[in-house]
Order: sequence, then structure tokens, then C-alpha cells
Amino acid sequence: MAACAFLSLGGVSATEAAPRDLNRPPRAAAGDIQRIEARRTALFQVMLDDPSNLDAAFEYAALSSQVGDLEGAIATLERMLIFAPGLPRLQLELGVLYFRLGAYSTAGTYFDAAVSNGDVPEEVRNKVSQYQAAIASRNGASSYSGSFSIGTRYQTNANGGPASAFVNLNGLDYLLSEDARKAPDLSGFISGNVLGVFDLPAQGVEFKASLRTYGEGYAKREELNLAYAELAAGPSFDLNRFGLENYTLDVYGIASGGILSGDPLTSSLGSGVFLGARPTTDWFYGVRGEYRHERYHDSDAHPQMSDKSGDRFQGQLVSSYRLSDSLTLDLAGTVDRFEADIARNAYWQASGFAGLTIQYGSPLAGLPEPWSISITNQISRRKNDAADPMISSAAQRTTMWTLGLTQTIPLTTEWAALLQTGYQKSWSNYDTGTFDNATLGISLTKVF
Amino acid sequence: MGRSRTALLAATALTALIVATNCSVAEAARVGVATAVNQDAQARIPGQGVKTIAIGDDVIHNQVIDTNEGGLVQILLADGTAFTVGPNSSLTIDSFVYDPDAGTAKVVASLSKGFMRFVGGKTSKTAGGATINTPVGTAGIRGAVVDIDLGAIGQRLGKARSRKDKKGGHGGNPPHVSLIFGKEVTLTGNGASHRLFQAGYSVIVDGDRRSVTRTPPAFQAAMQSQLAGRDGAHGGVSRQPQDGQVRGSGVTQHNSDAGLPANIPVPEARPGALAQQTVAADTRAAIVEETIRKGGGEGGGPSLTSKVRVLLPLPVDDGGGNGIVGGSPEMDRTGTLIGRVGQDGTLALGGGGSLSLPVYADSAFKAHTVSGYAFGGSTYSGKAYVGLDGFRAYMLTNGTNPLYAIAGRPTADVPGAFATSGTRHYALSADATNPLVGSLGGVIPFTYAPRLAGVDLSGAVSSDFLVAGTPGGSDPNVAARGLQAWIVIDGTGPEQKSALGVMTGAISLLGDGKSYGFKGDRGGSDRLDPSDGSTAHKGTVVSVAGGDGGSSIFGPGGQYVVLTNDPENPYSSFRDEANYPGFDEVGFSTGHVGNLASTDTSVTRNYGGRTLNGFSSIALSVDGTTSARAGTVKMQFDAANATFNALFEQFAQFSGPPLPHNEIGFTDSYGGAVYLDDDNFAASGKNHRSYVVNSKVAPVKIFNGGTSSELCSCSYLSWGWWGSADGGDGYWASGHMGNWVIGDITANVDMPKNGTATYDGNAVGTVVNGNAQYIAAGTMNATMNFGTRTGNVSISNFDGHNFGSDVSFAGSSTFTGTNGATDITGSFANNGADKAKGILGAFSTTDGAWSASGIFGGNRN
Repeated sequence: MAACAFLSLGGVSATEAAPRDLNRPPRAAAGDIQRIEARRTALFQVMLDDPSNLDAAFEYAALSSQVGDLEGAIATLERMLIFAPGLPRLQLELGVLYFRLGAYSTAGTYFDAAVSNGDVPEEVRNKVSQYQAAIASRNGASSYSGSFSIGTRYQTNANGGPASAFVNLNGLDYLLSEDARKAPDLSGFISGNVLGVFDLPAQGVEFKASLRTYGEGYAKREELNLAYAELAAGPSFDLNRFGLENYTLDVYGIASGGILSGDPLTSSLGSGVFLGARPTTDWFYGVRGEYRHERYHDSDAHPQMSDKSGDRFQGQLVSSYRLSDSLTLDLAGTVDRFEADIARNAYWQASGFAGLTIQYGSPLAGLPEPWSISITNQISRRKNDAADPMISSAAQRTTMWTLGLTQTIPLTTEWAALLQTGYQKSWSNYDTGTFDNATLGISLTKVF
Repeated sequence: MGRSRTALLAATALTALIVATNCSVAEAARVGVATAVNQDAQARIPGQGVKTIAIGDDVIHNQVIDTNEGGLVQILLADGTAFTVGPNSSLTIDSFVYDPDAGTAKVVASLSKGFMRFVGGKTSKTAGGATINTPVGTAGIRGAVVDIDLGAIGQRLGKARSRKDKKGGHGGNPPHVSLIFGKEVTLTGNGASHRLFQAGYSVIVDGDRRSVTRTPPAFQAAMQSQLAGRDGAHGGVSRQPQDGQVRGSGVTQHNSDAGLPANIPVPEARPGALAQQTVAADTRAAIVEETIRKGGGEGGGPSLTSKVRVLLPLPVDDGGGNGIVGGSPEMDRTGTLIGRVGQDGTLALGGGGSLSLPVYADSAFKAHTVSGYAFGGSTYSGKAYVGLDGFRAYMLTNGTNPLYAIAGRPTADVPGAFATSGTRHYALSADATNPLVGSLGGVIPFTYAPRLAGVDLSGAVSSDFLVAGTPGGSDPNVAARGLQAWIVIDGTGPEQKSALGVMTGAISLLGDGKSYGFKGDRGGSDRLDPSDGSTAHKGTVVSVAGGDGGSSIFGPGGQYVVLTNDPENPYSSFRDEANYPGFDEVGFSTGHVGNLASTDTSVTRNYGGRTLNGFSSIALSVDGTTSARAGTVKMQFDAANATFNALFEQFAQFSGPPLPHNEIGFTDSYGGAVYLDDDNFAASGKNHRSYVVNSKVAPVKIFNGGTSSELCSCSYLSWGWWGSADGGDGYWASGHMGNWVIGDITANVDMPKNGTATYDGNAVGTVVNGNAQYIAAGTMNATMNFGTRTGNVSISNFDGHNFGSDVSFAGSSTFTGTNGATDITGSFANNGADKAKGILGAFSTTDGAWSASGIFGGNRN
């Protein structure tokens, strides 16, 4: 008898609400979760005792959805759907729950069913159509996602000119000509990023292709006009096949090219491998190794640009933590070894990156999507192999710090305005590499 | 059940709950509750027959739940696990164990036919927690929502067709297990195991064959239609959920009302600098550097501001002329050159006046030809030498008046720069005012060109300025020592003109205790007019600092140096002083830019720490009387301090004007003796000492008809030139371009005991014929009998003379012999372990008014 009582008490224990049992992060404040779990436990008993108690069932489903036990919500609402076959709103909610799980195909069948008869509330129909559109880009054998941006920015030192009009070259002070001194400028830019994912026949094998494009044109310093494109493609393997749950391995080839003020500037070809892991739904990390042969091309305007050609070996650690529903921390560390054809352009570089993104409720009723603000901070240290004899007998050492602040204002679920400001400062034993630059920009981004 | 704890744990939590409220043993086998039932669904309870299931009914162990074609049941277990069983299906909950304290649960069920959806509760979060047996295999489920459709298995044909027809063609799919969401499902059966680990994939069973494939949309649609209930059926409840109830239930608030998960911002695939940002940054840096590097361009290149030292010609009235620079503040000034690279800048001089000069950016060493630059009413032309670390040397001239402008950052660590091994070769530029270049291309530095105006320089040989560090030397103030030498022998016989220039010195700490500079002395002699005697070379050579002062060695690795007379000494000049009556003298200077062209690290310093003996000869003029003398030489080498000592002694029996002692010349570090390596050693001969130059420094071709500079095929011997101009002993004695040869003399005990050998080589010496004196060369052949310890040495075609003598070496390895007027003395020399490999010696011979002395060397055939 005592044992029965023990088990009875265990049945209502709040410890059932252990986060490890949740499918998705809670949509409830941390302080509310324990209270909600206690309530869920009680409601569950009511459902068992009286399965026809719809109020208890809906409340249980609502709370399960809120704390992230989507399976619990699904089981309950699928039971409600047996009670009320074809009820569009139930089908909508079930579709959304499956969508949140990432079961897009099953979600799609619920959305399709929700709008399959004529008696569908307009609100339901609208929501369904949004999700159907979202599923269309994610489900099936191939999917595409990405973004496109257009914007303008002002830089206080668009050309990265030395901080001082005088630079010391081998102990002698040079007064820089106007075109070599720091100069502000306004530029317009466009960028596009597209990621295509194609299912390959084998389970857990995809082919990914990403294209990044970037173009920037300056109002005054047209010699800085830059266009750049980078294509990476290769298979991605889910390592769960080997028992490595939540690990993926991407192997890819990469090619890029750049044009400077109408002349070919750079081209590169390489390959890389990326091992990614997602130990929890809130934590992702990965390690990358990449090689590129980078060629810089001479032009009439820049006859010595090819001196910067060489081979790049890059290792990178990346990590992203969702600290809460509204707070994400990104960390990265990168080591570059650039084997330039010319020793003075060869270098080792180590850099660290930290970014914090805070999501918060929109202060404008007309723009209901949550806003976010990101603070990024990067510091890098570069040590060149050999001296540039024109400048010094010592090899160049450069430390660069970059601070960025981005305010994202979603205009719709697909469009956002971005306000960006940044500051970059470079310290170097070469005066030519000592500069700073402040940036203020605004852009419009469409995500798809 | 109450017998043990184990038994309790084997019961279900639901059972326990019931026990807590109504602890009935009869209900203890209940594992779940039927939470929705569309009829017809029946329960076959072991031992209790068949019963129609109603909502709220308990489900117990081993109870078989059958549904007909209209039936649909959802069973909810105590841990939250839900089975939704479709029409024409049969499910049994074989066992269910739940420990709410541990949060673990385990369920085993069997689906013998039909459809079902499994939504995992605690069971599927427990390892091995959910197992569903089916006719096509056992499905192990972990953390997942799984659909199982057994297709036609267990169906009567009419039922299957009926279901298909009823659902508009969605039925009829092959048996399959689909992973809707979650971690994994493994279907084990028919001797194989197939694992689904990615949502959206199914194991499809086709007879004995199983395949894993992406779940076809038809599977989803069929399953959805089967499990979503049917019109007219309400799962057993009397009150159906309504749209408004759902809308107001709170379900929508955190689900559909929350909207699509925002995609903005899209996370960066690569945190930090993107490739285009790296490219843009590196390109901007390259453009800035390129702008500086190329100079010029629209708007002009960058402006250079550099401190420049300008050396102007010392007026003749002040002791200058002939290229002598500096010597007074007016002639040694500094200024700042400001101007754009690629254009002319203005050099405003301290003390007034300005000078226009072209402005260059740093580069590898390069000479630019410049002309037409005005200063003080004169126009200057010449070369601008450009290097690294701001090194600039404008070596200009206006007729006979030079103007040097020098700038650059001094080498920071001069001893360190010269501490590297090897002998450094600095190529010297020709003097701006009086360029003197041999036909072979070598610049002849520190020489007054007008005096060599009538000399054919086609055979002249001149060395680079050679420098080696002395990091292990005993004098901490000396960082390196250096030497330079050149030789020209124009013609043969009495009309011959000959000259030898040598300059040696050291790079050492200057008076300020922190700067380094080179200081050396000119030496050597010439005999340019057969009717006159010889002329001695004297004077001091220094390296010149730039506008910022400090060390006068430039470049990051000590690559550059500018050599001329000492501009800070008003009496500094190079001087050529006659050794004959009248003591005619000319003062002058030249200026040269040295650029480190190469470092020879293959050199050896095997002579270091050793004493090498040999023989010497010279035509020595003593108070105006010249006689050809032969003698010995002894040289001691000090590698650490890069110096050596040499002692020249005439043979005691030599006939000629009497001298108070046998020593007729010597040199040491005070005489500027510099030993860089076994090939490159020389002394300038200041302070009453002799000058010495090893033949390898300036290998003039005097043998074999002017085709060879080798005395013999005997690299183990060294030979060279020496001379002196000394009045320190109460008489004036001078010698011009005498010779010496040294080697590793064979010890008597090492001499071969028998046999004969022949030796071939050459002889070189000086002929004295009346007032004429000139250098001559011939061939040498010797035959030696080691058994009798006798031999013969003969010299042929020596200024048209052939002479020789039998020799003997009875008690030592030194052989001597006299044949009338010919005296020969020599020794055998080793080539390492090869004893008596060569011979070396000296001779003197007389033939009437013609006399000669010289040295010879030969290699054993």
C-alpha cells in the first residue's frame, strides 16, 4: 500500500518536466515552466480519467505547445480531430505543430486538409497559405533558401588609407598624396546568398550548393568598386548513419572570383570539409578545414596585384548557442595560413569572433514581427613572414578590431530593414596598415 | 503485485494511480485508457471474451484491440505515449512499465494488421523503450513519431478493397514504417535490420525485400485520412470540439498565432570576416601600398622627407681639389629633401642655399643616371644610388668638383649584421669625377685616374670591397674587417707600367661609443714611368654617415656603404707619393658606393691559427740604389680577429747594398693586415709596414703568355705581392710589387726516401736592368731525386733568360744550389697528407747589368 502511494506521488511529480523531454525550446518564461508542468501533470490525469473533458484536453495541448512538448500537444489534438473530423482550425494547429517539429510533409497534409472544404474561416485560410508557402521551399527533394540585400553605407575611410598623412617608410617620413590618404565615401551595395539543398537517393545524404554574390559601387572612389561571387558545392552526410547522432559532415569544392573597377581582381579555387554537431536544439558547433588557391590578377591600374597571390589554408571553429528564446551567442575562431608567392605577403593570422543577438518584441504595432539587435566583435592578429623592403626591415604585424551593431527590423516575415553601424581599427608596425574606419549603413533584405 | 519492489516497478503508473484511489487488484493490469473510439472497435480480453470498447475504457495487458473498417481508437498510456489505431487494425499492448520517478517507461506492443501512429511519450525517450512487433518485423523506436502501415497483411481481400474504395484511392500502399519526426526507428525482421534516422524516410516492405526511401506523399496522405476520423463519427464524445472552442482554448496563442518562425536574420554560415571582406580589405591595403610604391601618377606620388648629408668639394686653397670633399662645415652640410617620388624635390641646406634632386622610393639597389641639377651656379650630373631603408647616395660631379648627397637609416645592429659567416662582396661604383674601370669591368677605386691615363687597363684586375665579420675577435670594438685591391701590369720589359692598389681597414665602434663606421688605409705602389722610380699609395678611406649621423653602414643588413676621404678631417686626402728624389706628391679623393652583391660562404679559413713559411723576392731600392733580392717570408694567421702577421727577410748570404739586418719588411694588424679567408688577405702597409696582397684577391694573368694567374697547379700554395716604402731605419728603402710564396713546408722526416719526381710551374719576379725595373714571369721545371737528395731547378723564358741550378737537400727539406750567378733556394711543400707534393722557392740571378730575383712554385707531376 505504501508503495502504491509512493507511485501515486511520483505520478504527479514535477520532475517529469525535465527539459530533455521537450522537442523544442519553451515559449514560456523560465520561471513559469515549473508551474506549467505541474498544471500539465494534473491535466493529464484528468484526461486519463475523463477523455471526453475537452477543456482539460485543450488546456493540456496549449500548455504542452507552450513548454515545447509538441508530441504531447500533437497526440491530444489528433484525438480532438477524431472527435471533430475535418475541423479546419484543429488541422491548422496540428499542421503548425508538425511544422515546428520539422515534419514538413505531415504538416503539409494537415494544411492541405484544413482548406480542402469550403467552410474554412478566413483567418485559418490565411495562416495555412503562409505555411504552405513556407513548406513549398523546404519540403521535397530540393529546397532553396537565402537572402537578397540592397543598401547604402557611408564610411569615414572608404579606402582604408593610413591614419596619418605621413607614413614612415624605412625611417623616412613620406607625405602621402591625396589619393593614398584616408577618404570618406558613400557606396551602394547589393548582395545575394542562395543555398540549395538537394536530396540524394541515400538516406541522410544531401547535395548542397551555395552562391554568395556581392557588389559595391562608390560615389567617388570608383577604383574601389568591387564585385565578388563565391560558389561552394558538395555533399553533406548525416553521420547518424554511423551512430553519430546530430553530426553532419560536409565536403565541398569552392570557387570565387572578384572584379575591381571593371578589371579582373581575384579568382580562387579550393575545397573544404566541415564537421558540424548539434548536441542540443540550442547548441550548434562545427569545425572547418579549407584550402584555396587564390590568384590576384594584374591590371593596368594595378600592375603588381599578382604579388598577393598564394595558397590559403584555413581552420575554423564555429559555435552558436541559443541562450534563451531571445538571446543567441555566436562564437568563432579562425586560423589562416596564407602561403603567398611573395614572402612579404605570406602570413599567419588568428582571429576570434563573438556575436550576440537579442530578439525582442516590436515596439511598433504595425510591425508585429520581433526585432533583433546584433553586436559583433572580432579581433584578428596577422604576422607576415617577411618584411616589405619598401616599408621596413621588419615584417608587418597587424592587429585589427572590428565592432559591429546591426538592428534588424522585420517588415514582414520575409522582408527586413537593417540599420548597421560599425567601427574598425587597425594597429600595425607599418604606418600603411594603421587606420580606422567608421561605417553607417542601411539596407533592405528579403529572405526566402 | 505487492510482494516486491520489482513487481511494483513492473506495474504501470496508471495502475498505481488507480491503486492510490481505489487499490483494486482487478484493475492492476490496466496499462492505458481508450481516449477516443470510433466504433466499431472491440477488445478481446484474455479469458473474458470480446467486448466493444468505449471512450474511457481501460486497456490492459495482452488485450487485443480490433477495429473494423469504420473503427478508430486512440490509446493513451500513462507516460503520454499515444497509439492511434486505424481501421481494420489489430493492436495488442503486450507490456508497459513506467517509473515516473525516474522518468522512464517501456512499452512492447504488437500490430498484427492495419495502421497506427505512434507518438512517443516517456517510452520513446528511454533507450529500448518502445518496441512494436509486426508481421514484417520488430520496430524499435527512439524519440519519434512513427507511422506503421501493414497494407494488405492480415486483411481480407474484400476489406482491403473496401477501404481503398472508401478512401478515394489512398489505400493500397505496401507495408511500411515511416519516421515522421524524431531520432530513429529500426525495423528488424527477415534476417535484416533497416534503420531510419532521418525524418521523412520510410522502410518499405515488398515481399522479402526491404528498402529505405524518402516517404512518398501518398503514404502521408493515406495515413492522414485513416487517422483523422470520419464524418459522422465523434470518437465517443457527446460534445464535439467547435471552431470557437479551439480558437479560444489557448492552443493557438503559442502555436499558430505566434506566426511563422521568423527567418530573419539568416545566420551567417561563416561568422567573422567574409571572403569578400577579406578581399576588399587586402585590396585596399594593396592599393595604398601600390600608390606609394609606384610614386608619380596623377597628382604626384607621395612626398619624401629625408635628412641628407651633402659633401661639397674642398677648395684647392684649403688643401682640396682633385675630388677631395668635406673638410670644413661649409663643405659638409645637412638638409632636408622634400619632394614627391618620381619628381624633383628641394633640398634646403643648413647654412643657406638649396639644391634640387630627384626623389625616389625605396627599392632594391639601383643606380639612376641623373643630370642637370644646379647648385651654387654649377650644374651637376652623375648617378643616384637607391636602396632600402631610405638609402640614397647622389654621387654627382661638375667637371672636377664632386657633390655627394647621402641619406639613409643606419644599420641598427652593425655587429649583428656582420656576424654571419662568409666573406661579403660589396660591388663598388666608379668615382663620379674620375671613373676608372678596367676593361674586365672591375672598378678601380681610390685611384687618381689622371696618373693612369697612359696605362692600358685591359689586363687590370680589381676586387670587390670584401668584408668579413669578427664576432669572435678579441677586440670588442671591431665588428668586421675589409679589404680591396687591384693590379695592372701593362706591357713587358723596360717600358712596362705596373701598379698595385690595396686598401684595408676595419668596421669598428666610433668615438661616440654607439656608432660604427669603416676606416681603412690606402697602400700599394706603382711604377708608371720607366724613367722614374716607384710611387707609394697612402691616405685614409672612411665610410660616410648620412644626414642623421650615427653609423655609416646602411641598410637593414648592412648592405650599403659610401667610401671616400674623411670629410671631418680638413687634411684628409688620398696621396700618391714618389719614392724617388723630389718626392712629388698628389692629393686627391674618390667616392664609391658599395652595395652588398653577394656573400661567399664557401670560403675556408684553414690558415687560421697556423704559421706558413715560404720565400720572397723584391727589387729593393735603398737610398736610390736598387738591387734584386731574394729571401724568406713567414706568415701567421689569426682567423678570429681576421688579421695576420708577415715577416720578410733577405737571405743572409745575399749580395747587395748592405743592410743592418736581414729583415726587409713586415706587416701586422697595425699595418692593416686583414685575413678574411684563405684566398682573400692583404695589408695596406701603413706605419712603416709593408703592403701585402694575396694573388687571389686580384688574380692578374701574367703566366703562360698572359693567360693564367696560377703560379702552378698548386692550390695548396699561396703567392702574392708585397712592397714597402719605409724611411724608419735611417735610410729610405722602397720596394714595388715584390713577390712571395708560402705553403705547408714538408718536414724532413716526411720526405720521400727514394725515387725521383719532376715538378712544373712558373716563376715570377722583378728584373733590374740599369735604371729599368719591371716584372717578368717564366716557367719553372725541376727534377728531384729523393734517394740521392739532389735535383735541378731551371727557369726558362724569364725576360728572355734561361737559368737554373743543381740543388741538394741533404739534411732538410730545403734545397739550395748555386750555379754561377744564379742562386736558388726552396723547399718542398705538402698538399695535406700528400707530402712533398710541391716545391716553392726563390731565386736571384745576374747576367751582366741584368739581374733579377723572384719566386717560383711547382706541382709534382
